[in-house]
Amino acid sequence: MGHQDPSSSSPSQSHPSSSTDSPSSIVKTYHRLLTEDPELTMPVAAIEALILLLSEVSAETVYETLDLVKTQSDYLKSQIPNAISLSAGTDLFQRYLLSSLNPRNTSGTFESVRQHLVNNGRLFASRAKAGRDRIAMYGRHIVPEGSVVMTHGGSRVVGALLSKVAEESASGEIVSFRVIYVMNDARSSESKAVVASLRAKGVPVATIPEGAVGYAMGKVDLVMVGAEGVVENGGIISRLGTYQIGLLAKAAEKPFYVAAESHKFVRLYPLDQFDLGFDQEVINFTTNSGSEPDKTPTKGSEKHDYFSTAALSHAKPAVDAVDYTPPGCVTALITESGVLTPGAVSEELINVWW
Amino acid sequence: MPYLDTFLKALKTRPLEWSIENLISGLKRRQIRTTMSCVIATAELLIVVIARSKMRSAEELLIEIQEVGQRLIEAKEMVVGNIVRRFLRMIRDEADEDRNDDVRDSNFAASYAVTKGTPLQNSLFDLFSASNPPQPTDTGRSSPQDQSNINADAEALQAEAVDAGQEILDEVKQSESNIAGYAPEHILPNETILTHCHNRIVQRFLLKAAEKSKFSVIVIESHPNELNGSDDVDAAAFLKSLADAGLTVISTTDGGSWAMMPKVDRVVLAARAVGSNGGCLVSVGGPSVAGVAKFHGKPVIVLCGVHMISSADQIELESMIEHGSPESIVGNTGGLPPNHDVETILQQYLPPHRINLYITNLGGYAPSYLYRLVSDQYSSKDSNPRL
Repeated sequence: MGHQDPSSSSPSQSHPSSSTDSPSSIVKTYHRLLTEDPELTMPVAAIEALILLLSEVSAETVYETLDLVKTQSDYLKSQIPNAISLSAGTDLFQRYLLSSLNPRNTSGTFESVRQHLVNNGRLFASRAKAGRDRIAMYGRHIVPEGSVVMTHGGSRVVGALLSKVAEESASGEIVSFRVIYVMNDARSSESKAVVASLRAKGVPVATIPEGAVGYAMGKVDLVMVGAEGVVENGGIISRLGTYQIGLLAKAAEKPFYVAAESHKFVRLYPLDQFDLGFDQEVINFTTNSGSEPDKTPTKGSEKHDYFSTAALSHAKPAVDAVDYTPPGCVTALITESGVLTPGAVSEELINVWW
Repeated sequence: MPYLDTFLKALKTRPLEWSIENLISGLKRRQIRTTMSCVIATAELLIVVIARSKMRSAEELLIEIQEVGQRLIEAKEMVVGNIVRRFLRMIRDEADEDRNDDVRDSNFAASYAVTKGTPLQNSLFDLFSASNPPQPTDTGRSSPQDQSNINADAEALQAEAVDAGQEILDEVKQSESNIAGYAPEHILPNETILTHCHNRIVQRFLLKAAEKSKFSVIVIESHPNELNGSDDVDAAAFLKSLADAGLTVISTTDGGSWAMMPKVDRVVLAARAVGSNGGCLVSVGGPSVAGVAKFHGKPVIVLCGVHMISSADQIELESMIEHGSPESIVGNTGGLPPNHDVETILQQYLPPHRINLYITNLGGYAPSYLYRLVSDQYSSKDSNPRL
């Protein structure tokens, strides 16, 4: 995680502070937005939280604004265990600000850009949802008739995509494809909800435990998963278990598709599973016989990183754990701009950020 | 190519609508067979559409081309769609060049996307660009201008578009000889090259290399070989031309590919249609030969013109596969029992991991690079009409 800047521990410059400007408020706003709207993804919630902040704080110069957004973004990232997804949003927002506030490039004044952002806060959320619908449109093309799709996790994009295929391909009561859903023991209520909603649409769903993925792969025509983040080499950060499915799909030569909106593209280049920038309580050695190692989040396990002075936040609980699926396992990514190879994604990301 | 010649002659004299209908029925009935003639016919037709257009702005011209293109694409020939999209991109580029001369102040996001032509850039910032101050690169100029100014600009654009269209046509016409031009670099004296079926582009490639050095060619015959694709030449003529050029020619059957592969230095195939993921359609039986080559560690080279490269992926490519006549397999038996089916696909999908290099008229590229060529040639605004 070489390129993440060491975050300042607290916003140190003086700006007119209102009661809503206290550091914890952005975290509260972020959580509030997520609970209020279950369709909202984490990056978009982060962007909206930052925009609300902009509307409440009057920064008078470009530098102030950019600095404010940066420190608040860093603070938000440090407080949320699952920072990858939301960092996609904050980084995208900062990049957009940088480009639109650049006096050489802007067609409006600083104030007009700020006003535009503030006024259109909710619009971004609906735009992001529209992106999901665009991705679903490609579903018909990817999921042929009579195919068996393997999926897991609770991705809303994948859910929307499969629902759309179910609606459009049904002749009478019979939907033309079937789903093998890999159940996650740690999140069984989410798994059950996803399965139930698919079955309600008439999709025949078979549930298998995670241990049966290799076994079932022979009956699968394609694998479809969502992602929390798409990294710079075209690989993905996704629910723990995705990497496993990806490896098995590759071994069986089955196509492995990832459905992800482009606002999930994140500035990260992990070299392996343990290079994500935060600790996960997945591998816990203990000699405590009898009880399971405590899986609730604990502070500590400070990982001393040569290059970063950031104190790591409390580690990610295992139930929210993610893994990294390298681009070699991914056949294609389905984004709003179409079906892209991992190489194409990685080049676009480099184009945007550098 | 008698049909093509008649078509091109008629194009100059007959009304435009007649020519469009003629081309569509020619494509549907497979009277226009080879990819080259499809492309030439389409390009010439589009040039005439531009030249005779009563356009008053770039947008009107784009709509006209899109309408014609939509009808042509119905005939299900992939290169036709590619050429239409190439023309659309060309017109957009010409129009933007003209516009950028006038307009100084451009919105950053929009102009960045225009110059880079990157689809993703658009959608990443699209999230934010709601009802922004009107982007100068938007359709239709809002500033009051003389009617005569607009007409003059449209005429200038029309002339430029016709010239640029002619350039595209010339590039396509020379594509096969350009591809062949790379042959001497890739075939050295006394090597053994293996090819499959009797493709015209491969023939030119090998003959060009034969001018510089002598080598051996193993030709895998895929019987019955009358089935195999419209870019193939007559089998006997193919073999004779290679032998007459001084090459050692060995014909063998599909089964021979395993036996001969250890002695082979390189495999050369030709593609019918290429997708942006690096996969392509080759004559049926080609992927097996490529698989054997991969097993033995022999490089596989695929020849194609850039006009064959589209934004399709595996599923779309496979939907373009043609079927041939069952007669070639079962002969004229006058009816088969109901449980006897005859499968006569003419092309097959070759996945990117079995291909080492694509040689196009613009040079050699790795399969993983093709998506770049696609984004260079076509605009994301003209993406798959099916959606």
